Amino acid sequence: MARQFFLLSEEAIKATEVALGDLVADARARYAQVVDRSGYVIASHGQPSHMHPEELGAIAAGILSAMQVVVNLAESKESTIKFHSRTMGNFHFYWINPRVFMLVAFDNRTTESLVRSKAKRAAKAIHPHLAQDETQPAQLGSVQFIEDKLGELFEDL
Amino acid sequence: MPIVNYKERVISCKIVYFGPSLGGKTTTIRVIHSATPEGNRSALQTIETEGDRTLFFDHFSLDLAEVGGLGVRFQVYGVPGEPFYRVTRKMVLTGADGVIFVADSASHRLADNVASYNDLKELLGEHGYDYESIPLVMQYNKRDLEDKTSVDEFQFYINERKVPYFESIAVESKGVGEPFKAICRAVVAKLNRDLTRVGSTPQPEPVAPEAGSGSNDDSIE
Repeated sequence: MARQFFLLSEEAIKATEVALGDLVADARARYAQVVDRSGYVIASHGQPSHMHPEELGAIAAGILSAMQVVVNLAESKESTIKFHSRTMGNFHFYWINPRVFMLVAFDNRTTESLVRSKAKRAAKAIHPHLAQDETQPAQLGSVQFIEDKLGELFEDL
Repeated sequence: MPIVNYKERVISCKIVYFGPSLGGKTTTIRVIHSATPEGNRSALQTIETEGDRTLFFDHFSLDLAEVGGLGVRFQVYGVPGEPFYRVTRKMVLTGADGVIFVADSASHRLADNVASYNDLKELLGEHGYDYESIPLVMQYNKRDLEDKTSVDEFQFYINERKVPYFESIAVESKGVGEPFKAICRAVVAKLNRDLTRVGSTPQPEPVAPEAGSGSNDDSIE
């Protein structure tokens, strides 16, 4: 059967967070996050300047998809966006697997080559954790609860 | 594809507002967003051109937490409607779990609605979706117009699956809540069926709603 869900165990997310923490420290980066290509943030470490991690994740997924169309990056696992300004951060993207990528935000406290090297190592550490748990069963809260909550929230619309 | 996060105990589902340009997608999203209590929503992101047309996408997330079971997070996106943003629409549809098609009721926009609907079907096909089974609802917007496409015409031209439909006037915040609730219900119902299958015990398919049972109980006409 084709995969119907992307299941992320607590252990897998914790391991991903640890790898991102190491990456941010070792690469002297500002922030790192792992994002599903649909824009969902799986794990993050650090503070992404003025944006909420979830907003940045959605935008990053969009940027990366757009870049893949404009420049055929299908053969390349990584790409970098650099801004020639001291106040603006730079972004390095790395595909961990075909549906998940990593974003690293960094500034002039580090170098692109150091970030690339540490990102590659982090991706290698994260990869096995995001490839498992495909058949783990899950229990969803009651549909009635969701119906009630939606009814309550949008009663006046 | 829904994402199950066992650490946060949340299932994340993606809902996409689709339809022709200037049909009311962004207005609808703004109304839904502003009606959602701050504790349940993220900030609304909109990336627009100078003319306030959606350039990239609109986005916010809505959390429905439950103690005990898994909560649900709806990631709500709106696509740019202009025909030349097709690539962006395809990108935003990536991983969609449900779609609300917002049609523009102005009678001269019928062809645009049909073109957009066909575009939706094509893009879903390109993503590998089974168009017949993805949760979908119709929102026929701008029902306050005098010269408008009738519901029967809409049903004939752009609702071949006979999914639930709703009439709205998004600029007056009327009728936009029901289609949103309907798509959330449809997505969660499908999710539960799929989770039951993943959980190894095959379950019979629930009885599908009768074709043509589109709801306009809350007709605003």
